Amino acid sequence: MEFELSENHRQILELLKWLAKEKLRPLGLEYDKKEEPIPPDHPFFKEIKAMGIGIGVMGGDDGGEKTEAESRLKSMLGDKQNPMLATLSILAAEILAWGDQGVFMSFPGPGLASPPIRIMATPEQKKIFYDSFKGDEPKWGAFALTEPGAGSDVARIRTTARKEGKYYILNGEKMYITNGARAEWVVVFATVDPKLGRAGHRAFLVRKGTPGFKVSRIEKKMGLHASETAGLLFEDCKVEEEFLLGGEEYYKSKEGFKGAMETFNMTRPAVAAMAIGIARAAYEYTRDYFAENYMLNAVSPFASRVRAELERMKRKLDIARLVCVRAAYLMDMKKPNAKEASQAKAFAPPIALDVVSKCVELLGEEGTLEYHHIVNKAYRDIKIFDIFEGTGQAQRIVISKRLFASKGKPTEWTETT
Amino acid sequence: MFDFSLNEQQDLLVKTVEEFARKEIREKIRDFEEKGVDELRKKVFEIGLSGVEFPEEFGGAGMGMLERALVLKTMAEKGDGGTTYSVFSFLPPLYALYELSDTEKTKEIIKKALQGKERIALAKSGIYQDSVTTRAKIDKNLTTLVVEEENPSIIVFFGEENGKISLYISRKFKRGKKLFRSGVFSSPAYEFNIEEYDKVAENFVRTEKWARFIARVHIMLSAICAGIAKCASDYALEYALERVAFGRPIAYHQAISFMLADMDTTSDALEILLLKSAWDFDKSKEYWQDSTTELILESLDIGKKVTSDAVQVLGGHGYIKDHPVEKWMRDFEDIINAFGSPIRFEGTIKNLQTGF
Repeated sequence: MEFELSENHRQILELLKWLAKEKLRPLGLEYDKKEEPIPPDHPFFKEIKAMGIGIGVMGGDDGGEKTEAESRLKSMLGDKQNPMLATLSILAAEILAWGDQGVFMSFPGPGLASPPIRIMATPEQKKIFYDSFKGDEPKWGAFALTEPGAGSDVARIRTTARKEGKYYILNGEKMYITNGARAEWVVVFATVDPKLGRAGHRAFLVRKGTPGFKVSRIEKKMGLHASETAGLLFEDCKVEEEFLLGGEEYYKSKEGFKGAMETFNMTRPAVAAMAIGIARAAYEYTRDYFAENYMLNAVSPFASRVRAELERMKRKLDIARLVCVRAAYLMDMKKPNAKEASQAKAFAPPIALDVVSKCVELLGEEGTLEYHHIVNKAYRDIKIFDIFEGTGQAQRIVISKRLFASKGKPTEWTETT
Repeated sequence: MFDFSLNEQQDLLVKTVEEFARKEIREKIRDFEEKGVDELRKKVFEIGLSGVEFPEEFGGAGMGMLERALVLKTMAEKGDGGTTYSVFSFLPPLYALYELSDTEKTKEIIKKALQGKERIALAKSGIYQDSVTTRAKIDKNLTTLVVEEENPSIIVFFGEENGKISLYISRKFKRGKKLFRSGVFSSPAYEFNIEEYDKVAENFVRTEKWARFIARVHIMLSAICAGIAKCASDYALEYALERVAFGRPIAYHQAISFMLADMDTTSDALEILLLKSAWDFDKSKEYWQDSTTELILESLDIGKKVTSDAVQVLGGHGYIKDHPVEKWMRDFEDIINAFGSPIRFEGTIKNLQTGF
């Protein structure tokens, strides 16, 4: 057993911390006040693209084609057999979210489109997709699953895919799509027959500018203002059949959609770690504020309470982080981690919300004002973490299903069970 | 880098304990409540689990608190927490002697105790962080030390003499009344009158060795509590998959399945924290003391909720003694507070940095 970073990992995280502090945080605060997403032509995106940093530029060692950034990272990590990229990724996610989560989510790169591409796409599709991200211009990828009528219950998606000759015709609406309006490529989930449930699901790679593909709206949100959240519309959108992810064969086995869902086992612990990062930023700010005001060692009922609350926050963040690290570690070891990934996602965000709200409360009447912008911004940013990437409730459904299966029982109750 | 896997030796240790706990403990836990654990303790000594974390020169196995934590957690999880606590009640006094006193006499006591040749017990009263209870004022009276052993050969206790706390041992004492207790019936508690005593260590309060003693006790108690939380969670799951209400096993009602998911998640989280804290201690990592303090406080939060929820899932059946969950709920509160309330460690964390 071992519970510490290697020197190489430490150096990478140090570098990211610098980036988070010097670049992400000021930009995040600026766009939080503006209440709008950072525009795609902002020079920051070119700057970090040049640094080889982006979302989805690495995604675990799945035997697929390595991106440029991933190869460079691996060479930094040395020739070790297992570079522990999933574990490194979630610790990196925490640090970057600590800087600013909204800006982090706006990073150019394949983004959330990357995991399904890695798991499902054919070698030709991977090449087309990843090649388009090469070059100096920042580009984005997006993942479109949620619809107005289907969130956690993904089996209910109603965007249709109708085969016509060498094309699929997509019709439907997608919502809450991160970077959806600026994305070069969107991985779109649709159904060939709603009656088939998950068996009818297909995933498509849809390129920006495809006729019939429109951006319907940019959402106004409570927080995460720097990040763009879009609604997408598909009206008789013609997609060539070679952009059916994985090809026809992929869907002949029942494992097809299940494969896509496995991407969550990678992303859920990372999202949980981001929640920890946001809470950590609020916690550290509050701790330092009270330290500067001589409250940490003062003798008064409120000072003792502040000290005890800060210790409690730190303790809760420490244990939540370990749960996330364990889920990622299992992924690095190529061991099943569906339950552990959901545990991380169910466990960390409520703790993070609790920490952040306590910070606002300790800071009192000024906590919600500009004086402590980082903290009240964190309060608005954090709530979504118990909602997106599967709500806390959806995670508990996954966990309990796995628990039932571990006892040889059916995962769901039906009258015939 | 992070590695959550057990090495070969640890794996073998866990498997041995698991088999032992299933065979020798789980089916008999109510018997231990009535008859005590003397016979069981002998068997534990026979399979070499007495001194896992002690150096070989003391007759131990030369491993660490991580291995000790694995033994205790596994025995509590697959067997029973209260029984595990009773069997290993000789550990806290040995930790006190090992960390705080380095005389030849105490070394001999440790060696003999690890061979099962001494019945050693640590008095429950008088182990506060930097003050002792009035029961252990050496210069006033020493009549009511509480010891969880019917016939100890040595009582180890902390006492306060002229305002200074020291460690004492006594071989001459008289057993007083048996105390009513709420949990861990397998360790009956008695009041003892101490008649003669020797001071074996002094000037240790707030030193590193004092902190190491406290940390060892925290790891020990937390390991048992983590095991209790895991077995309570698992027992509630199995019950909920069988018990039918409103037309289906109650596990398939979300009100229950969400509780089961949370119990599983939090007890897993506690287990990970346990292993990390024990590892921090063994490796003398910076802030190992904070790490074990966080562990005992988190054991309190999680253990309390999970054991109570297990009773809740079983409903009325959980409240009666046909099922062990009521025992685990009682035992938990007794074990976590065994040597003073963990709450007194709130406000003692030195390092307020979080993250790797």
